Amino acid sequence: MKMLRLAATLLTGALIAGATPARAEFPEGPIRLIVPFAPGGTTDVVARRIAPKVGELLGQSVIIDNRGGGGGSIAAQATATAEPDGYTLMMTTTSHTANPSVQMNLPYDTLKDFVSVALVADQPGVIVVHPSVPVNSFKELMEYAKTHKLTYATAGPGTFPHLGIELLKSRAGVDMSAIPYKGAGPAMTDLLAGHVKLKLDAYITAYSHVKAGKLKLLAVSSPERIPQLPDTPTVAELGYPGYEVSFWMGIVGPTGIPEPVRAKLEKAFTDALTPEIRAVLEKDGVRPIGGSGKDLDALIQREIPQWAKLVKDANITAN
Amino acid sequence: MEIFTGIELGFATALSFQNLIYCFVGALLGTMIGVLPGLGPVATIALLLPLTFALPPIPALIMLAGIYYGAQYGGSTTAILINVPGESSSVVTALDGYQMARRGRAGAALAIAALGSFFAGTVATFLLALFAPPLAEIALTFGPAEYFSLMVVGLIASVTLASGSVLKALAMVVLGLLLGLTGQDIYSGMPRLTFGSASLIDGYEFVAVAMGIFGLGEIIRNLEDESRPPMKVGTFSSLAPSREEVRRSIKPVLRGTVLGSLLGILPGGGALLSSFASYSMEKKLSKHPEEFGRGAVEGVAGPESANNAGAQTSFIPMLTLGIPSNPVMALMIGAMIIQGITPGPDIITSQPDLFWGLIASMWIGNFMLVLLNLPLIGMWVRLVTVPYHLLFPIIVMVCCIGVYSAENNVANVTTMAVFGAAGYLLAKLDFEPAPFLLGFVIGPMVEEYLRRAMLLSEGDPTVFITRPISAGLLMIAAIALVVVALPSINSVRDVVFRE
Repeated sequence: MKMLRLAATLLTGALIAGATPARAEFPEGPIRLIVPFAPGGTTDVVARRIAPKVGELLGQSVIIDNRGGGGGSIAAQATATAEPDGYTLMMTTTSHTANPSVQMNLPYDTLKDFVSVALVADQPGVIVVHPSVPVNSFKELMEYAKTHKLTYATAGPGTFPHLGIELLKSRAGVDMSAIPYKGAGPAMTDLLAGHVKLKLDAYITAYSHVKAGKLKLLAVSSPERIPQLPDTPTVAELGYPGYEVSFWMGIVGPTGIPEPVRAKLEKAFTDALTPEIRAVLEKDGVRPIGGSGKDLDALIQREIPQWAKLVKDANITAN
Repeated sequence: MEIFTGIELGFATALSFQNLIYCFVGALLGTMIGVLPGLGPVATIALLLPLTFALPPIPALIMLAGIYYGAQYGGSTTAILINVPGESSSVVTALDGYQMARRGRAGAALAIAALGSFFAGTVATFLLALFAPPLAEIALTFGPAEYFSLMVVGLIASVTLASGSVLKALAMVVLGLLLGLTGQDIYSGMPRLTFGSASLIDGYEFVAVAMGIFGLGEIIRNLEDESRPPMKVGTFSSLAPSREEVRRSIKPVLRGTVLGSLLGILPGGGALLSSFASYSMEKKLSKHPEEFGRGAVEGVAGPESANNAGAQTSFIPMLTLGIPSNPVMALMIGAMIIQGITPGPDIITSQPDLFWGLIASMWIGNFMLVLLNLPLIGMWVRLVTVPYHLLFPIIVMVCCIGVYSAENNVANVTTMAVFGAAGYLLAKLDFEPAPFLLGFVIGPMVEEYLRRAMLLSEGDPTVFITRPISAGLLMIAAIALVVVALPSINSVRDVVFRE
């Protein structure tokens, strides 16, 4: 009896296998989404907010794997060397396009080793100064910077607060000294104390200090005004058209993922931004985008040469 | 009067059934991960953060805070019993705590550590309730120049951690400084001393280094010499500290509490220094400094109180200004943002139940921790009666799991193994690991603050003496240098102190 049932099972299995033309439908197992930071940061939170919905759409669970360190290069290497079957993906950020310029000997090729899946969200930047700086608008700041020495805080070389201000310096022709910190937290501490005068920060972490009068908010770094700050101008509209920096978050996988699989993942990641999830992300201070792999590709290809030129001009690294 | 209504609100919040449960869960988890070497509060809170998505904000933060200060209690356990400091704060506890354990006083050391931590935690929480906003303002007056001078004091004091030759201690400090600089330079982005290895770009993981050099090194020594019993297990009646041990602990606990509370407020690495500073101070003030490093109860009581006091007061900058003083506080801020609370200076007025509830929960949590930890002592001490040939593979395995899971990184396990071999060699040659570890921790900070202060002053070195706090600290450093150097000039010291 047992044998008979086994034979029947095998036979049905063979029939089903024969009936479906190619192999079984992707995905057959859980999908690993590598996050290049320790848990708790914005990128990790965004990944965890969307992962359940993506999993639901694909009919499999999406597991977050935190691989911090090396400014994201450790996670990127793990992704680049993974099997290109669509089961290993990475939620990558601005540092992905900056690393080729700021890190020597990256163990992978940022352009060749990855395929873009979707552009999920970004976090608009705000330019804040300590109240001791006698300016009340971005224009005044630029004037002031021409005649006074200003210092600005970064979260380390090649990080978003560093590159964003370096880009501004090169566009506006002003000089400010970068003071590097080990992360945005300590940088904010010294900014609040006035030891350092200016910072490009995320809206969500800067806003309460602005409201309490401990910092002055002068402009936003995104191409359009942000809904939370309808009265705050963008840098671009203040005479620097095309100026745009944001801390973006996108999904990439290793090169070689079959196109139907990539397209299916792309659809899942863009469809996952339902109105409810969009609302939650906005509460986290993140702007949902829901862009395609093409959108992410365009962004990556625009940013890599931009950072490379900037890093070379500003002599950010010694290499 | 406002304070009293605040405290009343706090207890009303913290004593609700749900919040009590989460406070207990946090304290229990903290104790457990503190005991598990390698897996510290940062990794644990990070892992649990996604679970708090579904919780209301107050119980979520109460639980996460409980994990943090609970780990301060648990961390001393492995340091004392098996010489494995699972946290930077328990490195100094291992120095004398483990020696006490070898003499059969493990129970006493654990009890003193728990009671000292409880006292310090209570006092520091009280400070937090009464003076949080003004203390936070003081913390902000510390800029890069002040931190540099503070770290110099710490560096000089590190020499006193050794009980043997001053020259060897200095050599170890320098070696620590050197290895501490491994990784990407935050100013230039250049990788240093990484030999092209991507896994060294963030430097050596402190916990892996400490566990290797102390714990694994000690295991190798125990295995090499079978006649060297790793542990003399006291009779169970001697679990409680003796009257003499309690008497000797009172002043170190008081001093450690004050020192830890003050250093804990400083967001730039003050809490890290507190246990080291307390140890140095106790050794200098002691009438019998020769006992330090051989099981002096003061060497456990002071640092343990200091690090727990520091753990509580390090909430001050986060709660009053919204700035993180360490990675744990950064995660707490992340947790608040997830909950839709924007951390910042207005949190006391906009979220009074959160602020006061969290403070009240710390009182309750510390109380729970003492109740939890005192009965466990008997169990821990019994654990080391397991025959060593069965115990050591378990210790090694648990260390490997802990070090790996902290960052999901195999390189950390390798680091621990290499430093284990180094720890064994150094012990054979009579070099002590404690000054090395302090150099390793302080070195990168000295450099970071020195270069930042110089950048901000545009290369003018006088900032260190024109800023009053910095000048005062440098004066303390100069005095400390004389105090440290004097006995070694008097060459008798070496002879007296060496085994």
